[in-house]
Amino acid sequence: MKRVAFVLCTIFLQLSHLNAQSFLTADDYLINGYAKKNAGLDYDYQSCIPGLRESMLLRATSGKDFIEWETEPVPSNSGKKYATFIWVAALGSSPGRAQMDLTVDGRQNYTFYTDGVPVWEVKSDMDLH
Amino acid sequence: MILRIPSDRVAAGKSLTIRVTGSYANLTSWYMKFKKVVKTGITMNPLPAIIKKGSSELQPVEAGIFYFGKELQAKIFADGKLVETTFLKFGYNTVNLGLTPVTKPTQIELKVVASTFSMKNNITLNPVKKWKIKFIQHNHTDIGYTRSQTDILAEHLRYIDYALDYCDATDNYPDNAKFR
Repeated sequence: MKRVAFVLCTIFLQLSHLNAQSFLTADDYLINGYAKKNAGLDYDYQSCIPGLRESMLLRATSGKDFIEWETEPVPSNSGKKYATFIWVAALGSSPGRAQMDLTVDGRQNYTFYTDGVPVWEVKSDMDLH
Repeated sequence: MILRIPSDRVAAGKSLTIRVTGSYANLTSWYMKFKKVVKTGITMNPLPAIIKKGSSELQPVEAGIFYFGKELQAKIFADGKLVETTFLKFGYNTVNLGLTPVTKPTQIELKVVASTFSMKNNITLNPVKKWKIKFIQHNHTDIGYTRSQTDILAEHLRYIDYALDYCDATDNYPDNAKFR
């Protein structure tokens, strides 16, 4: 099986311009990372974008709380090395550092934490297929 | 948040399903995903107000620009006329513009140009209704909390007398300096 390197980064869009700049390259084909909701708690809360309040929320309490959504379709022949999905997210770290697990199509797992750092990066060598 | 995947590991024409699950931590720590389409482009929110800048009047429009390149100086044009120069940073940029007020619904093309990069969008700018606003202090008196009913009544009758006295006292002032 091929080993594939995946990268998951948080970029709090208005706060970390310099780090974000160095992350994206000419090899990235940007794709809207939110097209529709599949499951999860709807929540109304302020965001970093004026007027944007519609969100989905989960908490690290029982281990069963989750949210799920679909991205826009991957275009054909993007001509780029990476399909790079982007969405607006937020973390609430003040109650404590908690683990969050992210899956892609139910198979690919990443773990990140609700810590206070403005930018972090998670790499995975798990096979997508 | 950004998820980068090698293109040869995703199927063209298909969406990804992404799920985030909170751990069993017995904490209220949270993760939030906003329902927002994130694409390079410009959206505009005309505000129903007129602002004065020097001797001219302007209608404020809040421009929201998703931009994912390196920081660039950008120029914003409204129907070809330069209205703002700004710096675009990676992510979501908010730029407050002042456009010439319109007297009827008017379609306006806003264009952002930065180096070789450009984007545009059309908005309909509606005329702003002018309101005459009168402030009256008697609409929130917390009767029974601030004072008793009998005290409040006397106080507010006195306030009206004071206001009328101020009007009389400033009758000969320039129009903008008169107490109203």
